[in-house]
Formats: sequence, structure tokens, C-alpha cells
Amino acid sequence: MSLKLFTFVVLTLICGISITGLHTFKSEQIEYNRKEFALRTIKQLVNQKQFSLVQINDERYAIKYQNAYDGAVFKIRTPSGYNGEIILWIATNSAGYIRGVRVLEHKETSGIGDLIDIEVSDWIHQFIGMSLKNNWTYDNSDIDHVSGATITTRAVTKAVFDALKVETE
Amino acid sequence: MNRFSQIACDGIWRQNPVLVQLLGLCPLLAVSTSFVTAFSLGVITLFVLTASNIVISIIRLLLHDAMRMPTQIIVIATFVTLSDIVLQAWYFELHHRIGLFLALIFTNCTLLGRAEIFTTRNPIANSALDGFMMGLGFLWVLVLMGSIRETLGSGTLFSNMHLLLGPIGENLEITFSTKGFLLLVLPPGAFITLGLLIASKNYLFNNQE
Repeated sequence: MSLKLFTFVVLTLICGISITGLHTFKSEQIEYNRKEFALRTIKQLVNQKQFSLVQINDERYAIKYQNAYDGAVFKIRTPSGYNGEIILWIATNSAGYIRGVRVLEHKETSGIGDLIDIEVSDWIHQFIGMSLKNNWTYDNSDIDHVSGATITTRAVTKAVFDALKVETE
Repeated sequence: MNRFSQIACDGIWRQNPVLVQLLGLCPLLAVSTSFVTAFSLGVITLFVLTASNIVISIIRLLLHDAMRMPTQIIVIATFVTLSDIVLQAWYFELHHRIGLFLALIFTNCTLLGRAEIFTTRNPIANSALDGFMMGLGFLWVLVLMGSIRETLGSGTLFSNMHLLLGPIGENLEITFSTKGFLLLVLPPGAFITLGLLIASKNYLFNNQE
């Protein structure tokens, strides 16, 4: 009886050690992958040949071009998506124009609301080059809201607009 | 038919975990939206199932009977976590896509079911083969469903293969049409596809038995 219980304890120990071991061994690689993945998205966003990124914190990078500040890349969240939170990266330049927007995480309905995802459609590209001077209201908007995905597209547009307003001020 | 070919036949066809036993529907329905996700999750399930079957079979005689379930759960959870770490280390982009469902392998009843039904009563070689064949049975149905749903639902096949194969996979995508039948990509489409698959299997093959 006690011997058989002992097997269970040993087994649990072995399992624990092997997971911890592999994780410790590979955690650097995983962290590197995670950073690399985030950076690749950001570099696409900046939309410029030569620049350097200065990390301010986990959610914000400053773009430097020829040693001068030229905008920022930052993460924003909006809770008003159709199925919950949408997380976006936004890149701006120093004049207050948008360099690009990218959806990092979303839970929108696949086939309908997921058009905000770059891998599904180009919808998100229409933010490029916009600024506060554009028309962001629902009527006559410069953004093409999509019927069927009204809530999703409005949530993204409003989030980008709010972030841009805060950023410009 | 000897014992081994019987096990193989059971896993792939006669006792197929999806088409006959209807186990593991949760990951099946969640990841079968495209070929890449279906294939990768199927392979991981195959690995976890075989490995956990072997380990459980090795220690089955050393265990107290009351400790059977906790042991099986611990072994399966360990292998799922290990494959999760491996995927994060080497296939990060793929993990970004299917990482959520990776943990769901654990909820796949096939794993616990096989451990309980088969492995606790059979020697190591049989258990290993059973795990492999059951995994294979799960894999081919998953891949078939993924292909059907991707072809009809999105109008493409083999899209995003670079997640799996690296740069070679970039140009493998076949596009049939730009518009797909949306229902098949949504969750109800998974149930409908699976239902049709089971129905056609029963219609075509049940008369022979």
C-alpha cells in the first residue's frame, strides 16, 4: 500500500521536474520569440525604411528617425467589440497622422467581424494617413463601416479616434 | 486477425475515436476550420496520446487502484504542457494561432478514455500501438474535416502553411474561389460537417458488418 502510494508521489515529482526543466531551459527562447513576434508587427506598422525603435514600456515604443522623435507605436484596448475586448497597435507620426493600425487580439465572429484582422481583409489599411482632420463621425465617415459588422468596425474606429485624440494632445 | 492488426483496425476505423466513439469533439469542432490548424493539433494529439499511453502502461502495475485517475490526469497534463512549451519555443506563430486550443487537448476524452479502458489492462507494446492508432484515427478525421471546411467555407486549401513548414510553405495555398460558404467556418458548420461524415460512413459501410 505505502509503496504503491510512493509511486504516485515519485511520478508527480518527475512530471513536475520535467515541465519546470523544459520551461527553464526554453523560457529565454520563448521570451525572445514573443518579443520578435511583437516587433515584426510593429515594424510593418511604421511603414518607413529607416528608423529605430526605443522601448518606453511594454505597451509603447517611440519611433526615432535621424535621432529625432517621429511618432510612437502604442497598444490600446477597447472593451466594446462584439464579443469582448479588442487589442490594437497604433503607429503615429509626429504630425499626428496615423502610420498604421493592426489588430493584435480580438474575439469577433469569424467570417463576419474578423475582417478587422489583417489576415482576413485589408479593411484596417484605410486608417493609414488619417488624422483628426478627417471625418470620424458615423454619418458620412471617411471610414467605410461594414454592414453586418457595424459594432466591430465602430468599436475599432472609436478606439483609434480616441487614442489619436489623446496622443495629439 | 492477430491482436496487433486488430488494434490498428480498431483505432483507425472500427472504433474510430471521432466517427464511432464520438470522443474529443471539443477540440475537433474548434480547430477544424482550416487544414493547418487541424493537422497540427492532430499531430500533437497523436503524440500526447501515444506518450501518455506508454507511460501509464509502464506504471500501471505499480499503482494503487484508487490512484489510477489522478495518475492518468497528471501524465496527460504533463505531456500537454510539454508540447505547449515546445510549440512556443519552435513554432511561435503557430502557437499564436492554435495556442488556445492546445490546452483543450486535455479535455479530449479520447486520452482519458483510452488510458482508462485500454492501457490499464494491456502490456506496453499493445498500449503504445493503441495510442498511436487512436491518434491516427483522430488525425485523419480532423484533417478531412479541416480540408472540407476550409475548401467550402473559405474557398482555399493549405493556406498559412508557412506556419508549419517555414518559407517553403508560402506558395502552397490553392484558391478555389474568393467567396466561401460562411456557415461552414462558423461553429454550426462543424457540427453539420461531422454529422454528414458520420451519416455517410454509416450509410456506406454498416451493411457489410
